[in-house]
Amino acid sequence: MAIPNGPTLNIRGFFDFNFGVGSVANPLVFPIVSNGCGTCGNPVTPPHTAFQAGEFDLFLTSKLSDHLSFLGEVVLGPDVTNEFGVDIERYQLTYKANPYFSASAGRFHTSIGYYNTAYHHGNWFSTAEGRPIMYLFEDSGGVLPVHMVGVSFTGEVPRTEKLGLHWNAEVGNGNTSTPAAETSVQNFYSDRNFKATNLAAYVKPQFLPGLQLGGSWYHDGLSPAGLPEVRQNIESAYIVYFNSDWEFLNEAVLLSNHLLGTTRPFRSPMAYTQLARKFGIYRPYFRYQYISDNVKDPVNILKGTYYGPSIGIRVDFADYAAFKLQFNHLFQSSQPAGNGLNAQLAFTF
Amino acid sequence: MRTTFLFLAFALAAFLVCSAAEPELAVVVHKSTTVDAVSSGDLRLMILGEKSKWPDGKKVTAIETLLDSPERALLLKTVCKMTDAVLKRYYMHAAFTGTEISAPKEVASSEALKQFVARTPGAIGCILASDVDDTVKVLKVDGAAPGEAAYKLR
Repeated sequence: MAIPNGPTLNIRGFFDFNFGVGSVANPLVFPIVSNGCGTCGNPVTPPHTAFQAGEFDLFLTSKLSDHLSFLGEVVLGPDVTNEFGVDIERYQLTYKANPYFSASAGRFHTSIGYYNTAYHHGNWFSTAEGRPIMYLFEDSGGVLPVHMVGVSFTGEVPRTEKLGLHWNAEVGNGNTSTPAAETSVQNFYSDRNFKATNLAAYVKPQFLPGLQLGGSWYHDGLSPAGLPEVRQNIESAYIVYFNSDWEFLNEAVLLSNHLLGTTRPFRSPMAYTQLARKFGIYRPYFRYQYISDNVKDPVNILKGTYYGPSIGIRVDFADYAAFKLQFNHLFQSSQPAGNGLNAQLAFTF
Repeated sequence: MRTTFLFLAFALAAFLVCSAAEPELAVVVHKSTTVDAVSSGDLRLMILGEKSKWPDGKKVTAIETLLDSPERALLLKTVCKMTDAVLKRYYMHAAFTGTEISAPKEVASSEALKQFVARTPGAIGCILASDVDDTVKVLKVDGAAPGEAAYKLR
């Protein structure tokens, strides 16, 4: 319903449709895990051949005033039960006072690393078919708190225009303390009073447009049932470069879960590198990723070591549609190495 | 020796003729704009919508001509350093990540761009240097003005 002289709602859609072959083809469920011990209990991910709907993503924006805007992202997608579920993945009201300060409240992607805030639920934007394993969404088995429900503050640092220094600070509900919980993101009820905090910064130097370097530090306290309190730290660092032809992404994250009263934390290092080059409408790419989640860590749902290459090609056969073909090979400490080939049509409408 | 000299003289003459013939993009602003020069980095940020304020606090209003115009082609090549398809995706991606940036307003011709800039404090646009008149102010870019050897927007 149009409101005379009122805000206008803009809707843009994103969708992807896939055909996958193999055990590690599916970019959303990758691999399937349940409370295994890492080397002895994880169920073997069966090979599958299937046409699959990806995420039907409705991206909503509205400008309420010169300084106030709203962003929302509603995603409908199926899972292994073949049911379609609806998630409100993002909703944030943002007040932008000036280039140096803006504040948002709602549910957003936590500013950990680069990929998590650069790419959301529309696969058309990303060169590769799916997210690196370290940035999998919580309901796909991801270990990082990629979503946060809370408040976020960000802006440029004054007098650093040549360096392009930006800052970001966030406070909100961290993920649930229970690894096996059906829903990890605490949208309504928080199982503890402790709030997660995240500080991030990045530079985009003018001397080399397209270059961005940054890092973040996340801290939370979890209260898993039957266990001591856990202090969680997540540090990230990245360097990325884009120009009209090249894309080069490099990120590293260290997740540490420290049970109070014990001497050492459980550390889980993760990293990936991705390189792509554009040749007209064709963009071949290569990604190599590594993630090692300590098998003794009682907090992580994903356990074990996973690493391997993905190689693919993206073809922008239309301005707003792309075809991608990607082969994945993944060493998995809990089961034999997996292979997968996935074809994807990704588009915006 | 004489042949080499003649060859070099011919090459130099050809270079000078070709350089002189290259169209240049002039950065034009409202006459009340207090700055006389801008860096190529800042210019790019203003055109891409990432820099929204002049040093005196006035709002930057970026203007561009339609896609098929020679000014737009030069702007994409020398300032934005992107193709039009990449630029569209850039604006869409900015909106998708919640980054509030404003794409330049679009006008039908360089004459319309000049008229808009002439009446709008804070406006900035790019037209062919040959189309500049006294209704707008021309900014130096990286210390050089159109016509100077060091000027890069060509």
